[in-house]
Amino acid sequence: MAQIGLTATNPETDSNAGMRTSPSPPQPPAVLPGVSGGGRLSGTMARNEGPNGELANGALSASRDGEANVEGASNGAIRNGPPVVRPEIPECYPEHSPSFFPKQEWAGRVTAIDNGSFDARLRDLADGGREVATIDLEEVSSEDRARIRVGSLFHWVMGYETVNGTRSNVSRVVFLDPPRLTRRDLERGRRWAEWLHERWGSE
Amino acid sequence: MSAGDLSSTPPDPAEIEVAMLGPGYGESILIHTGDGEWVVVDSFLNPDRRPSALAYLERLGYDPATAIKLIVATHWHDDHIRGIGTLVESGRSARFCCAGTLRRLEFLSMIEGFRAQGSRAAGFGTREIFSVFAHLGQVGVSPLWATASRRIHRSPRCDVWSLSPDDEAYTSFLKSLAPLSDPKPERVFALPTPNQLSVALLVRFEGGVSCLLGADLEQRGWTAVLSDDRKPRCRSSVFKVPHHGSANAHLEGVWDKLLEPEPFAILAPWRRGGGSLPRKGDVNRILARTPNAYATTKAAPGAAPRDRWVKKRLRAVNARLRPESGATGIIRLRRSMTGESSWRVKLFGSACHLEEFAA
Repeated sequence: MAQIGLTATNPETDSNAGMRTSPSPPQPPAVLPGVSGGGRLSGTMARNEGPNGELANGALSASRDGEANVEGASNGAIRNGPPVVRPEIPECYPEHSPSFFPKQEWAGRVTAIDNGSFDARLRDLADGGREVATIDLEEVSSEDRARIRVGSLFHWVMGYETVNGTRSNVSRVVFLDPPRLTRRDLERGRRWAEWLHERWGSE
Repeated sequence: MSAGDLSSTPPDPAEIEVAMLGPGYGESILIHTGDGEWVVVDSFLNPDRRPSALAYLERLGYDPATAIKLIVATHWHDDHIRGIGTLVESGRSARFCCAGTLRRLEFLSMIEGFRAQGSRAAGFGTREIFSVFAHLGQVGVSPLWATASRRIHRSPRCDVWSLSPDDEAYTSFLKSLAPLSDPKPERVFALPTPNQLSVALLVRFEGGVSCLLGADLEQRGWTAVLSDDRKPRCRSSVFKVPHHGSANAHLEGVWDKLLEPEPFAILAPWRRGGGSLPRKGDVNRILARTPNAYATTKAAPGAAPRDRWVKKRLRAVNARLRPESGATGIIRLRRSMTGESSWRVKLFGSACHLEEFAA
């Protein structure tokens, strides 16, 4: 399956840090390396629009609701494979082919995996509604099935596709690669951490 | 919860209140420690994205800026921490407390790293923690660091002790952070479940009343609590059942040694796609220990309204969806600090006796 690199910048990068005026902590750069290259989407879709024609970057800002995703009651949730970073539900739209008409789209994050299905937290990309779901692994391509982990991010779309005049129903789950911290991320983080320790003193 | 559901009568100055709020995914506990002062443990957001604890206090007529004296984030799981940043900024006279393990430079570096990667990468509630720490860095106030058997708060009528995390959990956490010292592109970094780092609390009031709040601490953590001689010696009459009543957080010794017989047991259920806590066996086990057991919600929330075509497709692919959380329920316990033999229980919204809980 083709790997498509997402190039969306994230408006949250500089705005939601909770950092204010003096005394100033170390500031991150305006565009961060982990954003543009960190999330690859495996899939075969082609148009850079959401269900209502909005561009991917617009979708990012539309879904800034301040959630921080963590799986409560996670012990026992990892039923298959090694643990991974559990990022929050992704805030991006995939590209759709011109022949595909999406009726419903969710962004999701895997919370548990069983033999024939996986559990996930979902965000409805149209209205931001939150749901939890159990989804059959049959909905996942065999390639993605092998790498699905607790914490994996995915996009789930339902719609119909018209090819040569024939319309068929489609349910497609596509997975994003997990985020990784780079040395640069950690060096910047370290400066912030040392600033905090300085502010907090020895208590 | 609708406005008409909740009594707006605040507790008397010498009255203890323990209120547990939960919508089916998320929990928050508020404790009136006397004289209009409150302790808030954990947070979740109401549908209007406002922390439920703030709404609760305001409804009782309190100003959160002055009424809240202590805010505890037991751990950084999503169902315990949503909105805690807003809570900390609103509770201007409150100290913030979390596990002492989170003070490590490695952990702080990591949460900044995730934040900087953008929201797609910020997992484990680290964005909320980042928000709180950034705020406390700006104002120059250190969090209170919870460890085993440490008094973290004292007021004229009450003191609050952290009972965990213990040294073993701390060591395990440090080991999990070791890969951060040498990040490799191919490595997928993993943190341990923060349940092991949960901050269990003991709240003691004048007159000898006490409450044990179990957070999501699991069995290994409770074993350490039981064997720790430094903690205050008392038996609690209120027990926030740990980890949503799950069997992996149950230890008979906790009920036998740290609680009064038939204590008031309160819990917030937890639900996700394929399952929920507590399970039927958990409910039966808790009810075998006490008839005074309550849950913040009694049933799974109903299905979201949806396009007919999508409903049909969902059936075709055998996918089961339901809303992440439902209506908020509140378990409210009140008693005077002295001269009264037991707690008065009042249930609001979807809260129920545990016997009515549909596991």
